[in-house]
This record gives sequence, structure tokens and C-alpha cells, in this order.
Amino acid sequence: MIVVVEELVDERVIRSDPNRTLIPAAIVSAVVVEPWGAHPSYAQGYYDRDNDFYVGWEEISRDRAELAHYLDEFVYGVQDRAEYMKKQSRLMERLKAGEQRCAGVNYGF
Amino acid sequence: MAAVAARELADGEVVFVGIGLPNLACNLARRTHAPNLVLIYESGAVGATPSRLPVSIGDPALVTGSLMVCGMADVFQLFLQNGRIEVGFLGGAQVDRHGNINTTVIGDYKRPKVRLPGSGGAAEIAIHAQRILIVSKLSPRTFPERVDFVTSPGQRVKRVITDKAVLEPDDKGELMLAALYPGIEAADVKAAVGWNLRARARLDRLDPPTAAELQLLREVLDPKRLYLKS
Repeated sequence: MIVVVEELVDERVIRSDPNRTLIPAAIVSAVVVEPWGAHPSYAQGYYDRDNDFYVGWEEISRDRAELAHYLDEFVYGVQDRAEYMKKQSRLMERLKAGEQRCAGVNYGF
Repeated sequence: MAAVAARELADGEVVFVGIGLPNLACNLARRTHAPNLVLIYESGAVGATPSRLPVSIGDPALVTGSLMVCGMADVFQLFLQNGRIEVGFLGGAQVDRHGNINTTVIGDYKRPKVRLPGSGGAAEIAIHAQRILIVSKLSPRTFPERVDFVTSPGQRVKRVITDKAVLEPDDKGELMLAALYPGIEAADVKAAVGWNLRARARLDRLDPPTAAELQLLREVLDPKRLYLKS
């Protein structure tokens, strides 16, 4: 399994809140650090789902020529994800997550 | 349709919510007469209180402020199959005279005219939710006498909410005309359905959406008109 992540953290961060570990290292083959890697989907606490993109995608994917044009511009025509994101003006601004933090958990016993 | 569907829900009920008009109806109900409605989405959000209208079951707005996020298996086993869902909202490409829904194929399964997305959670919801509400626009093509394929069986359908009228099953499960929208006559509805639609002896006349409901729908819930047709 290949995991794409927003950032790498110290193991202590994971160990401080193990209730929230979804995927253990034992089944991970490789890790890719790629901020905004989930776009147009979301990463909780980092960026919102790009709902406008999904709605707009219906039109793009319906027409062969439009789809080809989209792929040329945003898939084949970019070096990497960073370039893909920079190509879309104000996108990161629009989607960056707000703040809604929880109280935290007491793991003391 | 959204306003009429919203009125079907009682405060505190546990509702399995689908994307589209059901979503709109549930969120309208939550902001009007049913603030304690418990919304459950297929993706695992339980007791969701979305601050915006989700366009997908995978919207993060469903998680923030919800009661619990569980796996899809738990939604379908722990909640649905255990009989804890009081209302299931469904819609589809075709609905027939017994409330069966088709979201699988138009035409012959082996030689399809149009292949549709399939059941999703609908087939499970249709047979386990305590009551089913169908929301669908009326037309002879959408309401044939028999669906081309039974994706979701209609035995638990309690009400079919359309853009002209409300249909209800009789004691044998056949859908009958039960209530009319303002300005609509029984003949209009019979002409829009693909079988000889029978009517209840006494037909109810439904109230139109209130100004408050319309404002909520148009300005707060669906300002981009993703689901409302103005």
C-alpha cells in the first residue's frame, strides 16, 4: 500500500493519540509526501473538498474533446502536483481549511 | 417537492439521507419543525449537522459537528439492518405502480438501452428502513407500469412525493393518488403516470411552501440551485 500524506511528523505525534491511527506502518509499502495530494477531495484540517470542481466535472467528462483538453492542461501538461495547484489561481486560498479544534484527549490512566 | 418531503419528517426521527432532493428536504426539516432529526449518511456520518448543503456523501461538512463517524459496514449493519432507521429517502430513474425503483438499466439487462449507476445503498435501505419516502418528478417515462429492472423493491414505500401530487400505496401495495398540489387536478396526474392510476375517495389538497420555507431553500440551503429548479 502506498500512502500519500500532507506532512511527515515525529513518531511521538502518532503515539500521543493512537485512537486516530487509521493505517499502521506494518501494511505500508511506501509514503509520498505531497501537499494538496488529495485535491479535488479533502484532507481533514488541511483543505476542503472542492465541490465546485466535482460539479463542473460533469460537463468536462461528458464531452470527449473537453476531456482531452482538460487532461492536456492539468494532467499531461504539468510537471507535478505543485505545478498543478499553482496553475489554478486562488485555488489554495479558496480551499484552505478553517479552524475547529477539539478539546483533546486525556490518555492518562 | 423539497418542502412537501420535509413535512413528512417528525422531529427526532432517524433518517437515512441520500444526495439530491432528499438531502435538501432533510436539512430544511432540521431548520424548521425537526431540529433534532438524526441524519445518517451512507459514508458513515451519524447525527450529521452539515453547515452547508453537501453535494456528496463524502463531504467533510458531514463529519464536523456530527455525533459519530463509523465505517460503512456499521451504517448498514449496526443501524440499517438492525432496524434502527425510521425513514429512508429514495429516488430513481423509474418508479412503478408498486413503488419498485429502477436505477440499474433502461431496457433489457442483457442488451441495455442505458446502463444506470446501480443501487448504491438503495436496495438495502428499501428493505430495512421502517418506512420509505420516494421523491421523484412525475412523467410517464419515470412512472411506467412496471420498471425495466427491480433495483429496490417497493414493499415499504409509504409515500411518493412528486412535483404535482403525493401517491400512497393501498393495502395491496399499489400506488394511488392521495393528495394534489395547488392548481393541479387529478386528470393531470393520471396523464403523467404509465398505468391506470386510481385515486383515493377523498383527495387531500396540499399547502404550497411557505415564504419562510422558500427563503430557506433558495437563499440558505441551495443558493447555487444545484437541486432546486427555479
